[in-house]
Amino acid sequence: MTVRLTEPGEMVSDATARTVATRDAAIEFGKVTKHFGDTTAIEDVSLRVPAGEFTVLIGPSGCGKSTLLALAAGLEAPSEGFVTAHGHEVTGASRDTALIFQQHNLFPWMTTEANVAYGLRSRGMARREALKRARELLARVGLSDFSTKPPTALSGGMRQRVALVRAFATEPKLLLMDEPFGALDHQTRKIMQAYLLSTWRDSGATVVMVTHDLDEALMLADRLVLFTGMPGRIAETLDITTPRPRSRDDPGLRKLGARLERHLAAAAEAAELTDSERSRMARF
Amino acid sequence: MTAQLAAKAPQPDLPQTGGVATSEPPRKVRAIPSWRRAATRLGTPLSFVFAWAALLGLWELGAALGWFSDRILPPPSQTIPFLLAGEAQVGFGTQRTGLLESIGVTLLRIAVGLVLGLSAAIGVAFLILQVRLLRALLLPIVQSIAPIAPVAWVPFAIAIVGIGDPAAIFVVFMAIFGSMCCAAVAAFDAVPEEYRRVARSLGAGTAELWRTVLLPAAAPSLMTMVRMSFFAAWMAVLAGEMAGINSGLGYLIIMGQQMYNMKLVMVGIIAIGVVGFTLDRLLLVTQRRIIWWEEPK
Repeated sequence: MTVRLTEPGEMVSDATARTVATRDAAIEFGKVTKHFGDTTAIEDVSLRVPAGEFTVLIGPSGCGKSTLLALAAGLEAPSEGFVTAHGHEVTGASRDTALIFQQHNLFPWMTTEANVAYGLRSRGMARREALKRARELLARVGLSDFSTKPPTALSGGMRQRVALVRAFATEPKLLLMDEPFGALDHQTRKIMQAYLLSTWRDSGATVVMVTHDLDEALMLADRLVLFTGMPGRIAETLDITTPRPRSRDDPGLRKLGARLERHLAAAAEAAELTDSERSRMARF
Repeated sequence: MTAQLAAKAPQPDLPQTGGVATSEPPRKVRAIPSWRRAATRLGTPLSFVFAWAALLGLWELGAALGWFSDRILPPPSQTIPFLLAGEAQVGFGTQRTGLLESIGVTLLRIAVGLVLGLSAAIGVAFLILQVRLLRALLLPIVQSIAPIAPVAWVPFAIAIVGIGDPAAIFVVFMAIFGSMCCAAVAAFDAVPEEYRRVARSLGAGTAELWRTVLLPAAAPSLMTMVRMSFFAAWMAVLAGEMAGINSGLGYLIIMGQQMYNMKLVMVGIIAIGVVGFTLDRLLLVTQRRIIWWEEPK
């Protein structure tokens, strides 16, 4: 286990100096600032996400992680700086980018197979062919019996699995996930993490995932990007080279986890408590 | 009706995990006896029949004992034979119009007015949502039209298109267009942003987004809207027919008033109630059919 620690911005210093983005970066943020009205969601964020890697964004609530995903997806435009995907500036929603949210967002008015086939149909595949492909993909994750049922007939974990199948069905180059397993219970979450890892490795896609769960971040990430809040800035970028499958008892990971825990606790406290409250609580 | 409901005995609730559950022994959670469940099911129609029987009985009794004049409030024993004998009609000679014909005329006006009004409402809602400038220009006008009482349009309607079907259709259109357009805009606005984002990222274009996401997502609200506009249209067309459009069910009632034939008025009222109730139930069934993915409440 080696953990390479980098100072904020150091890793991207050469990239941001250039106006043309690097080729092997799936997503690159160059000195990005985003305002919503009077509030600044993120400030001066520079980050390179190498193609094919699993990057996890972690930090206190309200630190602009979700904003960063929206920028990468082309759903929002940066106030300052630039965002590029595969060397091209992001100007709008791209077909190469898939989105997964905490809510599965399956369309309740379509059967499960029609949901999975949706992206294929949008790309012009014939209805019958798209549904056949959808059934094959569902069979691979053990959901054959549910392909003609509406999503309401599925459990929470199954729905999120279908959402993943739907996102991967179009073979996206980039998968953006905003707390995808946040609404699932602990056991289902672990199963979904394993499923995500195997699907990701088969697909070769780049994954950027936002999570609040430190344990999840340590189990999944090639690279961990730590944020501080209000306005969101990158505090630290860590490469985790521990081979998968990873164990929660790995001493290196546990040590790193403990350190990150302290960082997140401090950030959360800074956001939630005033100085006087903090000094009062320090006595306990 | 009761027999049909009784035949639909409640089925044991199957857990939605499908095949797995069948191997388990049936759970004995429900200790409620079947007769009681049947009674609960029948409860509503039974009380419906009972309440009306009681009211009509009192009415009949009151008329027989002279509590009120049976010329003003004709009891069922007079109204029903009058209805069955086919005497509920107005006009003479070739202009003679029976009850069924009057209902037909009125329903046709509602149907045409509803289809035109709803199509226009959804069409304008589409423009308001697609074009930001139109939202600023059209929405205030639509919102101002919405609260105008439909009958107020009658003089206009008659002046522009004359009495008869076109005027009635115009009134129905004006009755539903404004409020339904506002409701449609609200329904489309309420479609969760995530659905749009997911559809967009999966590659859907604007037309496909409307067809496969926005319309179905708004369908539950839109269907409720259709039912409400049916009621509004039903009220509007009757009021219009009473206020100068000289044909249809509303005209039948006004003629009853002018000829001091209260049995005719009563038959008209019964027709309004029965037809309105039946059509609303039909729309409710249609709504559940179309919105198949939602559990009935």
